[in-house]
Amino acid sequence: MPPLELDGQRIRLLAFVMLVAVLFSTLLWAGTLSPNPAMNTYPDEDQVAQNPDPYVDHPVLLAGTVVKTDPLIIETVPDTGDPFRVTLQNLDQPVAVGDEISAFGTLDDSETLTVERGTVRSPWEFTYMYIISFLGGLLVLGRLATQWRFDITHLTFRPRGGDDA
Amino acid sequence: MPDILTHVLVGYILGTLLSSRYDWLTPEYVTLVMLGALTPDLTKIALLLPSERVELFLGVPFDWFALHTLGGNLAVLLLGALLVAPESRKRVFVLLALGAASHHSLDLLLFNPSGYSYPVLFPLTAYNPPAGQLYLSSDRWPALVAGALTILVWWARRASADEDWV
Repeated sequence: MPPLELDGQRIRLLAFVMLVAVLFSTLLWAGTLSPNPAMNTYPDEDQVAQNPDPYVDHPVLLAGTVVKTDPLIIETVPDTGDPFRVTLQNLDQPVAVGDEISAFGTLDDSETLTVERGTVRSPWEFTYMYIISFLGGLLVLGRLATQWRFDITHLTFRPRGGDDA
Repeated sequence: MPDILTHVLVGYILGTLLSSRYDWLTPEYVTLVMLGALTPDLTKIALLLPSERVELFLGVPFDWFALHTLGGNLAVLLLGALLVAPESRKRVFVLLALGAASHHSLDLLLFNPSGYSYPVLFPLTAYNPPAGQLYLSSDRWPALVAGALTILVWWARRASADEDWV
């Protein structure tokens, strides 16, 4: 490798390290965000499960699995802490036990949510989404593997078709 | 996100349409638009390694979701552009960014029970713009529409290539 290119590689390495540092900082920064209705983000099960009382009469977004349909009760599993159950009122969509619900509304008391808007999905819909997404990922990987190659002398990826670009 | 297949197919459609205008935009480069359209969903690493577990390990706040916002996504795209030869970095970045922009455009149209989307411009602002409320990530029709358009674009591209050949 000629000296000029070596310099280029050093700058490239420096840029790489700096970008990784920037990326990592944004991941840490994002971790400090908390629900803020002024920014249109609302408390969810992670906050509500620990202590629902401060959220009574306020808008919250709760997601969970249907365990009972009449009355409609979902069990939600927060990231930390124990699962807890909430009764949903006013959700005007057909539901079955095992469905996944995400519901936005007002917390009437520590165990009841009056739903303003919600989504109801059967478990198979998530399976479908994961399988088809996996296929999408494979398609890109397959094209990358057949169309691009790694040039070990210059430590770069290049199109297999030609090195003009 | 709509499913990743929809995102990737939209990347293919955009890349292929542009390739009819720019000769240098060969199938290798179309793939980069598809790759760019995938990058915001790197945030799904969280399904394998939840942010909370990383938080516990590091002892500081942490959220993979930054990968699905302007700041994190931009850093990933620039890292991607660094992996190719200096002379093609600019065009590689532009193609990856085109794919990523299409991803965010589609995701801002998703249905959200709260009526609001996600903080797409973070870290510039944590504001969540109103959501488009058009579809769910598990809906089938976005992939069907994207699939039909893909076949159309692929067919048109092949037909025009045959013409050039003659």
